[in-house]
Amino acid sequence: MSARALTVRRRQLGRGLLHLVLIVLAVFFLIPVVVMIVTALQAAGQGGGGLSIVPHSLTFDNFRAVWEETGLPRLLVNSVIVTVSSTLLVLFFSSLAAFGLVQHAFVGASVVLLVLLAGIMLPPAAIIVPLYAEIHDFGLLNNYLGLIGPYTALGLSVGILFFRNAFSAIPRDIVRAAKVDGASPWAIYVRIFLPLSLPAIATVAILQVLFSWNEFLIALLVMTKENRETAQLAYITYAGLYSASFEKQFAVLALLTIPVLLVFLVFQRQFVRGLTSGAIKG
Amino acid sequence: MTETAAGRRVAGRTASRRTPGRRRGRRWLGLLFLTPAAVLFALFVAYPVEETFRLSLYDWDGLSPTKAYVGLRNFGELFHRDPDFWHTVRNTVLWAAVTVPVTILIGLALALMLDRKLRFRNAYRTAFFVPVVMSAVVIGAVWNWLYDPEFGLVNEAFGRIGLGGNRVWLADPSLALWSAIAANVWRWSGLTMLFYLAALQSIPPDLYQAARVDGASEWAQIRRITLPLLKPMTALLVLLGTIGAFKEFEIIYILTGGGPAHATDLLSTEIFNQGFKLSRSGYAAAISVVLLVGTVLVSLIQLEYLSRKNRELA
Amino acid sequence: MSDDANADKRVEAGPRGEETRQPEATMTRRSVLKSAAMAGGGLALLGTPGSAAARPFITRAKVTIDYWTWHHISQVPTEKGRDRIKAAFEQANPNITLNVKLFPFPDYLTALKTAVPNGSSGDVLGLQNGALLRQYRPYLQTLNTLAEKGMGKNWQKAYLSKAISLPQRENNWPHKSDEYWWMPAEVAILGAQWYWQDIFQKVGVSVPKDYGELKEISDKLRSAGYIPTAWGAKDQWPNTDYLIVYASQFRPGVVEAAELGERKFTDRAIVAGLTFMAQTVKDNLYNTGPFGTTAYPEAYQSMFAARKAAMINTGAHNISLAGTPGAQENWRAFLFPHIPGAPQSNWLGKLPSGVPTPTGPSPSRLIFDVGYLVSMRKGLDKAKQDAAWRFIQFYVGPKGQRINSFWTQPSLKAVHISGFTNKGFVNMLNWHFAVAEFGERREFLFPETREALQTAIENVIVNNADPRTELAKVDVAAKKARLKAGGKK
Repeated sequence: MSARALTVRRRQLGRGLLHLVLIVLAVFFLIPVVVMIVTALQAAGQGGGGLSIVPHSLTFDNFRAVWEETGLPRLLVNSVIVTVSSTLLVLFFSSLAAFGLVQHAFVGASVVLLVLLAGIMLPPAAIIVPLYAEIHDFGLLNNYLGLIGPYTALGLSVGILFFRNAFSAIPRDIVRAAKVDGASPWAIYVRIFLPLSLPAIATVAILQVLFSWNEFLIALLVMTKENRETAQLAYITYAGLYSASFEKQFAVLALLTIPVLLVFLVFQRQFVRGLTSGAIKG
Repeated sequence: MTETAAGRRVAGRTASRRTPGRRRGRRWLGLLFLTPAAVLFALFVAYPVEETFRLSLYDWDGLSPTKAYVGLRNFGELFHRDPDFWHTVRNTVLWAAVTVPVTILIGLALALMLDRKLRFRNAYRTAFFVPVVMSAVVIGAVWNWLYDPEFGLVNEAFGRIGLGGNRVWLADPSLALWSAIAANVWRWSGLTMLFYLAALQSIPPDLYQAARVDGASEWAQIRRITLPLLKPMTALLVLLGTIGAFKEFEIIYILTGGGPAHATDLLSTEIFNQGFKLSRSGYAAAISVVLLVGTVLVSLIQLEYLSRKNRELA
Repeated sequence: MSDDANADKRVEAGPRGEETRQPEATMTRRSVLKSAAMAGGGLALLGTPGSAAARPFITRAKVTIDYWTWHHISQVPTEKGRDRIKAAFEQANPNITLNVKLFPFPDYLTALKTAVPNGSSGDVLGLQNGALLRQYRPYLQTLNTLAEKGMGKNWQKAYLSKAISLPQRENNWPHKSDEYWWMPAEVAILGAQWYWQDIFQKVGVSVPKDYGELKEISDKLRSAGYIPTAWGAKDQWPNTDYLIVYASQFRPGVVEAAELGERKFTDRAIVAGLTFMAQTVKDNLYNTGPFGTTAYPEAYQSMFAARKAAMINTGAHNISLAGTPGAQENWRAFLFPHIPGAPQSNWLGKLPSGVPTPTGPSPSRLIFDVGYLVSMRKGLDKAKQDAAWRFIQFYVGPKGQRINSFWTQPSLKAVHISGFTNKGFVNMLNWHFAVAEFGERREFLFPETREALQTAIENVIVNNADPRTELAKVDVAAKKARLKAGGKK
């Protein structure tokens, strides 16, 4: 075989091996997901059953049923409102704050960072008692702001961290040039920093969407009226203490996974776009 | 040339030039940019944390209108008279010390494998990311079932390959914590993969080009170019991962409940038990203080490393 | 709107969290916030026409009440999310809207702790005996007058006597009181061995007459590929259930006495019970690694209801799973056989006859608890209080209990199970209800004591610790709890 053909062969073999490894890993990562979906496809209302990986009956009835029985459409709307709002706010406020930190660096920036991180070092159960009292005192129970406020606040630390990282990597020369040409700080922020940190924007957005969408405890306590409940609370209808329909529980939870996955799929492409337009190409 | 042009494009709309005397105004502007974040943070994060610190000095059941001030007595009891405390600390440290590096390594490996033109790349990426998206309730229920001593897939698989299929993964004191760690690593590896993928995107391809021209193998490229450039992201992931691991609650609570006999208790589960099952809100707050201070100390070390890396690269 | 009204009410109910030091400095920021919220609420109140406080004919006005619980009919698998209680109640009371808010149990504790002191909890609350009812007493409405007016002066007589006396004793200890801030909705008799009679037939075993036979049939069932008895020890509550069943064979009432300080946890009877419990694990009566298995959903559903286990130690709790195919025809029960070494006792002779499937002489005792009670929040305005009481009376009265009687055990003497057709199954359930008052006390007064006992059980069985040493630690915790609650010793 020619040397060239040998290299091609080696590359094909390498590729094949890579695919093999990836497939095995993917299966490993997906088994629990498969269990969830298979269970959701089992006929419910039997009382017994149990989780399984091999389906013995297939029906979409559970999905249809939970859609109506839990009022899922309304809950999804509520979740979307809270998630989108808190994500936009986190993106805006944390990038703004990071801009302030990076551009107008002052003594104690590290302290600020530490304080920001310290805020998110405790599990929700640790702070829920004073946090709830505060939300209640503001009159924000059963109010979208009662969730948007805390969710945004809790996402700021990580957002500022990521944006600060992204912003520090932007070369000083560009900024200096813009300043020399009389650009206002706002213009610098909007036209230089933001476009150059699309990967950070995508990352922070995904993190905040994940957090807001999956957050359970605060939502459970703050939204106690049915018309304001968020989607994660839907499965409780089927989660009794001495019996449960976990075919339906899993159907609900499977439905809840889809929107975030879609968001992820959309933002994946943003990464690639960020790659081609964000680098220092001018 | 390009830079000034860009600068002029940006500055195009602005009318006047700024004089040097305005620099102090800029400093205030910097603080202004921080304000919205600062206000929200102060309200919904700083205040509850500060309240928790205050609460740690009281003996309170979380309900009655009166609290009894006890000073540092909660801490004294915690450090000297609580038979489970030090074991819980050890568990928490172990939990973080294993979860964080393993999650990062796996995420890095996945990202490196996927950072190329590959058929089905999106599908693989999604597959690895799905666990991150699932809620803790489902993850807990499914992993409970996977680990079931009688019917779980894990024992069945182990049995088939001859490693013995009757372990009690979640209730054997020597296995339980590790089993929970495995589920936790499974859950978060897709996220570190995502971060690394983003970081890999920002490495200029020219660097690799040059190395390839010089005949460097892929491995060598990874070792000499990629890994060093990923150090800031790694440091960031270690920092965030540690913070996340120290406060992780739901998954371990659903998988082991902190048992058996407190064998897998973490500081986070202790906070919940003391605060809500045993109604000792002051004591639970004291544990929270310990958790926070400990995490701060560890983070300080990591932050220092992170800034040093940032300065090196800038 | 209701939250703003509650903000006003909170001033009467008592402020939350007043400390003994530095009250001004701490309260400043929150007082400002509170005033702002109340001002806003007051304005809203002024601007809203037809608020309940303004109407003269209170019972005609439309009222909404919030009911908080972790345990409701809509969760039973065969109900498919339907809420028959809500439907029936609202039909009988067209001016009242009932909002049922469900919580998972651990989160329910958090929800109560945050919402109740702030006055933002549900108007009607589902609670448990002991810790919960004791803790929240200052925030709950006394129901004596309402109960007497709505259900007659001797309303207590309609209930199983233990459904009244047990909560009275536990929720007031160490004092006594005639005050009712709770109404008993459900009881549960537990501790019986339920089994699939068709599996028994198929494998060729019959109900054991003593412990030796129980071991034998367990081996046979295991050889035939079944789990003999499903046990979900990870959830912890089945463990204390077992311990009380066993210990009470050696001395009836011993665990309750130990908790109250009249005996010790290191009493011979409890040590014997715990030792026997460890022995049953060594004798292979259960699924592998019971401490790695949850009671629900694994033991109850994935194992027993799915026909992978032949037996499970349960009782009233399993009624909600009786929609499982084949359950009515095949689920039967027997009493756990006599424990070797325990004294012989003819306690069964005092019971109504017709033990479903007789076992040998001196079988083990059953356990009993008042598993679910409802209360009303203090500080409700007249219209809401009226509506809330109507719901409570509905729920704990014959109407609600009849609706619930297909999945829980009623606390009223006059209400029996319904919804099942198979005679054998119905007889078995009726027998459970007939013996309801004869069980050992199952619940605990103090969560500290219960937690300590659960840890002791785990240490003995999982870590092979010495029973007496572990039980001594329980004594320490129990004493601390008693002293804290105002007991003398």
